[in-house]
Amino acid sequence: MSEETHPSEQSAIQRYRRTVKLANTTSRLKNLDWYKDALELDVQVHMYLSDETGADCYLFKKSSNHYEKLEKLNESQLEKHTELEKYVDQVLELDAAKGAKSLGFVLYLADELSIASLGPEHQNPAELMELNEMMIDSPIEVLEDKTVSTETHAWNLFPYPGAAAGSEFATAVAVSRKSSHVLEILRKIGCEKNIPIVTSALSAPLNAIAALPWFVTANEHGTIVVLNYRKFTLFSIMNEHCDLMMIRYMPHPNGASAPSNLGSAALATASSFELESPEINVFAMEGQAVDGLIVSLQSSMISSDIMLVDTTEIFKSKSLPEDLPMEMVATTQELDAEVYPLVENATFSTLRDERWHLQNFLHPDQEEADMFPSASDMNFLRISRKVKKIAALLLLGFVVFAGISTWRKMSSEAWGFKASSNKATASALGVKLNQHRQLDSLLQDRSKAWVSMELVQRLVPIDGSVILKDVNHYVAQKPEVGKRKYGMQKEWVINGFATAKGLPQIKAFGDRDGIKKIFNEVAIVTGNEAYLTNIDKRDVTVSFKQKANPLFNKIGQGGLGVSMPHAFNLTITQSFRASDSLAIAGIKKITRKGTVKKP
Amino acid sequence: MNEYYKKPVILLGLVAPVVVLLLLMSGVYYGYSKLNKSYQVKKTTYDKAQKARQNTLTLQGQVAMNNDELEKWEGLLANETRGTFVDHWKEAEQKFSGKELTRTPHTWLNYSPGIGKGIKQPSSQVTMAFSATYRAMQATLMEVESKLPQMQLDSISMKPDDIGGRINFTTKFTIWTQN
Repeated sequence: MSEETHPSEQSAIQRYRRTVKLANTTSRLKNLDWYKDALELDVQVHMYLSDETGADCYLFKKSSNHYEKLEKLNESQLEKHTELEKYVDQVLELDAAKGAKSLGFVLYLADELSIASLGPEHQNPAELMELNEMMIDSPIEVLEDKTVSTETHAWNLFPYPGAAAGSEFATAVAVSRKSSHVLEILRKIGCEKNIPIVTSALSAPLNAIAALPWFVTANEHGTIVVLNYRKFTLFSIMNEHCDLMMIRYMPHPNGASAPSNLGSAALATASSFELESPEINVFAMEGQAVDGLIVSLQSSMISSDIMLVDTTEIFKSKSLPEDLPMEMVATTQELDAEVYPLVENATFSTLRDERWHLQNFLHPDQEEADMFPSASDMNFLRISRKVKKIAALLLLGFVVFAGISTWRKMSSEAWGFKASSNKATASALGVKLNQHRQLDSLLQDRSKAWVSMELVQRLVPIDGSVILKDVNHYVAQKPEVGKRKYGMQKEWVINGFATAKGLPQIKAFGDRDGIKKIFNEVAIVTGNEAYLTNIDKRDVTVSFKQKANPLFNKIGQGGLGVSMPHAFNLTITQSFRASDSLAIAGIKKITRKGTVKKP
Repeated sequence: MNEYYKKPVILLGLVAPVVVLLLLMSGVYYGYSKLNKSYQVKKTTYDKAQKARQNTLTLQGQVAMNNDELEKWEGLLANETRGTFVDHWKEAEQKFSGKELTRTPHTWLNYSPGIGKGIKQPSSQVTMAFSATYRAMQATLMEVESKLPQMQLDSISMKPDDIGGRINFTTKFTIWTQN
C-alpha cells in the first residue's frame, strides 16, 4: 500500500503499520515539535507577502530573541519545491539555526484581505467562540453573504471588543488560499528531511492591529488607525479607551497607493460612531509615500490631529531591526503593561489571551492532516510501547524464573525417583525390634525370690528379739485402662513375735520412711532396681499392727514365739505404674480397669 | 486523537499485544503450575521414601546393635525346657547337704495365672516346695534365678518347720517360653 494512500482506504492493520513506520522511520514519536504551532518553535522564519513579487523573510530565534533579515524569496522560488528546499537548507546552515530540531514558517498575508458581516441570525456576542468554530467548518452558515467562496478563501472571525451594544461585535476576515501550496511544499520538505516544518498563515493587518499598543495611546475623542498596505488600506475605528469598534477595508484602485475618497470615507465612518475629532494615526506599512492619503484625510477631517507614525524610531529604541515589519512585533514580542498600558484594555487583553490575531488561515487540509497520526496517537503509541516492554519483561522474567525453577526441579533426585516399597524390610526390622523390646522388658529383674528374701532378712534383728511366724510375698499385675503395659503390685505379709526389745526395732519399719530406707539398701546391696523407691511414681506403703502374744508364757514352752510377749503383723505394699520401666510389656489392650488378684 | 489511527493504535498497539502477552503468561503459568504440582507429588513421594529409608537404616542399626542380645535371649527361651529347668536346680542343690536343702516334686501349669497372664509372650507357671535353711534357699534361688532370667516370681511363702529348725518354702514362678 503506497504511503500516499489515504487512511480511509486502508485497513486497521495497515493504518497501524503506517503509524509504527512513521514512529520508527521519522522523528514524529520523539520530537514533539511536529505537533506544535509554528510560533511555539524556537527557530522561526517569518515571511512577509505583500504582493506577487515575493516575500520578505526574517529569521527569529525565540530562545535568544535574535532577529535576522534573510534573503527575499521571489515568486519563482515560492512556486518551486527545489528552490524552497534549497532555501530551507540555507536557513538551517545559518549560525542562529544550527542544530535546530524544527523550523516554524510564519506567513504574513499582506497582499489581500476581505471582510464580511455576520448573518442576522448570528448577532449574539455570547456565541462568539461557537461562531468561530462554525466559521472554520462552514463559513457560509455564519456569513450574511451566502455567495462567498470557501474554496478560494479561508475565513476566520475577528472580534470588536469596543463595539457598543447592538452594534456589530465581530467581523469575518478572509484571505486567499493561493499561498496554501507554498506552505504545503514547506511541510512536505519537512517530512522529506525528517525535521518538523510547521507553517502558519496569519493576516498581516490583524497582527498590525494587535501591535498598536506600541505606537498609539488612547484619545478622549477616539482614534482612527489607518493601515496603508500596498493594495489596500484598513481603517480601525477605536473609542476613547482605544478599544476596537470596527475595521473597514478599502481596496486601492489599480496602481494607486491609496483608496479613492479616503477622506470622505473616514468622515462618514467617524460620524457613524459619533467621533467628532478623532486622532488619526497613519501607518505606511511598507514604507511607501502616504502624502496623498494624508492630504485626503486632512481635507475631510479638519478638526482631527493626523499623525504619520514612524515605527523605525520605536524599533531602534527597543534594539530591534529598524526594518522589521510591525506585525512581527505582535507575534514575537510581549508588551510590558507598565510601559504600554493599552495592552490591558479590553481589545488588546482579549487579543493577547484569545489569540484572535494569531489564527492560522491556511491550515493543512483535512486530507493532508489525515495522513499522519496525531500527537495523542504517537503519545499513546509511546506509552503502549513502554507498557508492552514492561509486560514483555515481566513475561521474560517469569519465563526465566519458571525455566530455572523447572530445570532445578527436573534435575533434582526427586523428579526421577521411582518409589520402591521397603515396607517388608521395615516390617521385618520392626518385628525384630519389637521382639527385642518385649524380651528386654520381660526379662528384667522385676521379681526375684532371692532379693525378696534379702529384704525379709534385713527386717529381722540378728539378736533373736524378733521371730517370724510366716512370710507371704505376692506379685500381681496392676492393669491400667488404655495403657500398653501392665503396672505391678508386690505385697509382703509378715507375721511374727517380738520381745520388748525387738518390738521397737521391727516397728521402726512400720512407717514409710523406714521401709523406704530398707528398700533402697536392698536395691544397693543386690543391684536390683525394683527396690529403688525414687523412680517414676513407685510407691511403698506399710502397715504395722501389734498385739499381745496369746501364746505367751513366761516358761517359754509350747512352741515358736511363746517366750515373746508381743505379736505383730507387718504388711508392705510396693506399687509400679504402667509408665514404670519395670512395667510388663507386650499385653493386649486393656479396656477396663483390672484388679489385683491374689494367687 | 486522529479518528483514523485511534482504534488501530489502541487495539493493535496495546490491547492485542497485552492480550497476547497475558495469554502467553497464562500459558506459561499454567504449564509451570502443572509441572509444579507434578513435582510436589514426586517430592512428597521422594521425601517419604527418604524418610522411610532413613527409618529403615535406623532400624537396621538398632537391630544390628540388639542382634547378639536378641539371639542370646531367643536361644535361652528356645533351649530351656522343663527338663533342663530341673537340671539347674539339681546343680544348685549339690552345693548343700540334704539337711540344708530338700526339694519336693514340683508341679507345672501350661499357662501363667500370675505375671504372665494376658501377655503375648507364652509362659507357664511352676510351683515348687522346699525345706531348707534360709541361707541355702536364698543362695540356691540366687544361682538359678541368675542363670534363668525368664523366671519371674509370682509368690513365695516361708514358714518355719516345727521340727529340725528348717523353713518350709513354697514358690511360684512364671517362666517365659518360646513363641
